[in-house]
Amino acid sequence: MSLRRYKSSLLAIVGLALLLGYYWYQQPLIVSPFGFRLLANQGTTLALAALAQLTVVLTGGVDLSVGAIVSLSNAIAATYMGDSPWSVFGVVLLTLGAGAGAGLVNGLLVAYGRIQPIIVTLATLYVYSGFALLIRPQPGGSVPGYYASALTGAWGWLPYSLIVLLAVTLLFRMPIMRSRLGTAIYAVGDNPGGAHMSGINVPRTLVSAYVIGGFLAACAGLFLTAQTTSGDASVGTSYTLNSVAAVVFGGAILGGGRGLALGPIVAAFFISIIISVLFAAGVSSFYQSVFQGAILILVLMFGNAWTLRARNRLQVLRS
Amino acid sequence: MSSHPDPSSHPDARASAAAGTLLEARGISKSFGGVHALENADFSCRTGEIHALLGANGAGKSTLVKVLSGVQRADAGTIALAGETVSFSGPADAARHGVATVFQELSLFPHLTVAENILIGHQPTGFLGQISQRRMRAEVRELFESLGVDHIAPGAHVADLSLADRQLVEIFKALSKKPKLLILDEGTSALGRKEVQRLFDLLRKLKAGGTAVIFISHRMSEIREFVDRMTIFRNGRHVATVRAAEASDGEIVEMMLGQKVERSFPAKTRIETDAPSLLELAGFSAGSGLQDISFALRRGEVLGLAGLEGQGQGTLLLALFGAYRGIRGEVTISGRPAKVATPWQAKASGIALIPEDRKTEGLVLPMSVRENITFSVLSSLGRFGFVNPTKERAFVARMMERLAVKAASMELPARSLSGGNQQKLVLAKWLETGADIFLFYDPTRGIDVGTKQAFYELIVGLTREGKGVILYSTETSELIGLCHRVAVMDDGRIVETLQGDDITEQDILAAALGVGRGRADAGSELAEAAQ
Repeated sequence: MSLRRYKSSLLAIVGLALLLGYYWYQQPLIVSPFGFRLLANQGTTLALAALAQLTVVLTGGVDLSVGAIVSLSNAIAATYMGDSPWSVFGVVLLTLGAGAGAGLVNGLLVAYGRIQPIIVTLATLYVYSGFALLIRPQPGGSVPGYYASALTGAWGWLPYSLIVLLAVTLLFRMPIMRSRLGTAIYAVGDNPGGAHMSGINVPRTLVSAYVIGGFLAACAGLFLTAQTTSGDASVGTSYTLNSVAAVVFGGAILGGGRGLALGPIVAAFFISIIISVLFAAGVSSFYQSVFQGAILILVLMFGNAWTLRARNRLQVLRS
Repeated sequence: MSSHPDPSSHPDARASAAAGTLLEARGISKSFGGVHALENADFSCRTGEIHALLGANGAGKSTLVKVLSGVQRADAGTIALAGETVSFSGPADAARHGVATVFQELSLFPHLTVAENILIGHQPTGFLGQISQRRMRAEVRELFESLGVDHIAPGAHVADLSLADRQLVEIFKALSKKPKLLILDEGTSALGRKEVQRLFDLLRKLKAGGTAVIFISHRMSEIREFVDRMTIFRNGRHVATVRAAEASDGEIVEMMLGQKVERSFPAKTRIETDAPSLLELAGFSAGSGLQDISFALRRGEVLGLAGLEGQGQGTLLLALFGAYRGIRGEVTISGRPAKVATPWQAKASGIALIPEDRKTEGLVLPMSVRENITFSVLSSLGRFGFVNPTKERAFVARMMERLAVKAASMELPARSLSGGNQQKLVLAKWLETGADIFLFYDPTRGIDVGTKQAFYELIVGLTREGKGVILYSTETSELIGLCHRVAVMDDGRIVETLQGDDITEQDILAAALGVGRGRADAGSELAEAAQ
């Protein structure tokens, strides 16, 4: 496998490395088993949400309901999980099923309702948030301690959250993307007309992508629940746009057809950790979001600096 | 105009029904919003033949191909494949029945690899449906070898390939389905002579194996050389089916156009010996792609660019239009030094480009005919940044009439027009911008004879108004018929400039191949002309 494929992820990798380097300089304690666990837990939810977003973005769409599905999953898990291992197991399956179902509704509306993805998922964002609120009108609920530590704990220097993230990426998402369906998802985003002409079932591919997206968003919700150990119907709100940011920062193109998992995952960690870094650097909390936005813009501009050197400007506009 | 085919050829078509007919389409009709694209049209072809489908703009060829390949459903008529009546639900269904098509609109995925593009939908899979990259590339390599193609890497991204290579990939994509019937809709318009030769070598192999090939192209020479039979369509109907050897070029064109038309070039505009020079280049260079280009273009002159494919002709046109960075050398327009570092500067300096790929660089396909025509002149059609709709519509109507653009309405999307009419839109966009220098990048590629003729008239018309034209064409006959001078390029340089009666096919080819005919000093001549 050639490393050139990962060129689009390079910006996020370099960005995260610089950020972590600076963080280490400010706060040497992060290089410790405890620090690693903290860092890993901080980014995993957004990384999973970014994978959900990426799958939909690859088809040329966007999923604004990612945050709502995270909230819904959190509400379901924290409300119904109970204490026995069997009920935990059952509720985890139920939550994943609910996420996939939410994705299915999105996908059917996009593929067969022929409504633009951004509007479909904006509408379902309200619907799924509403369901979350019905299940959990006030913040509360709980999950068993062993559930929380199984996902957020660590074995020495190795945080369980990274294992979870790797498992979801390598055992769930990668086999799908390496099947014909995966190629079809890229093809539909790259050239929908061509995909139809090539005999790809475009609607079915779209539906599949949204279902996978919903499932991954539910994974994010389940992990978040382990972190917060309680339920809150609005806890997922920030994940919608942050997942879009991570996907773009990670080298995917919003028009579809291009993007790999590595970049968005790394970018998700960057975006999640930046607040802590700003805090460690002593930036007043009033300015934190200003800095957060400014840093993102600077980094993305830096990543596009190559366009200044391109000889044929048509290539810049096409890429 | 008779609704029935030429009686002399019809029995031949009928007789074929007995001799291994593979495809038999009868009474096919299809209309779009009241316009009949096909009207009770018949078409048939046999196993193991290469069958050309000919017709002018709007003759219904593309519609017939879309119906045969399952992209569109006919309003009426029947299609039988090997004697069995079929009705395709879509292109995939057609492919399952053994009908594979190379479409005019490239159906490739720029950001997938060559191998993924070719095998899409039927990639070799293993455990858990995982695609085997290794087997995929091996399959594609084998396919390539069968046609003697060795310059395309199966792992390369299609976005990085030239238009000609992309078209080859498209053809391989159809071949990978091992079709019984292969339909090539202008499948060779971007291929060079050598590649066309190679393609037909392969088509002959397929033919020997019993595959039928339906071939649509506007390049007469190709058709004559390689096909067995030809079917001519006109205005959505079948006109005749003839053996390729039986009809002359003139007869075929006559059947296509319904009247006797001689393919001739309009007389070149006479240039006064003291005609002022419009554009002068001195030492014009762009990286390694373009080196030390110097020439002068006079008012009323057509300067041709010739040479083998990809020797810098395209780069020169794009560079003159400001699409490249890092250009060196002097550009003088109407005696004043000019700067063309960006396309808008080029436009302001009076330069217009009719680009290589009209679909992506020349037009905005989903937008209407009207919008496409008025893009570059909007500011002159109104005031204070508002467009005056009455003025705009009048302007568009005038342009459409001037260029004879065939479209039912100016509000139709540009996408719905035929290739030739789309190209007219690209030109229409520029005619009224006050441009003096027109750069044409292979303007007649993939458009039919009748429209080509119209383009020749237009080009000569421009020169009569005192404009200057630089024409790059892959058809040597166009250069001979239209140009006052032809600059032959090789490896980014002008190696020879031919004038007047010296512009012959032999001289152009000899210069392109570097087998000089005693005119090696041409480069310096050009430099002198530029002084």
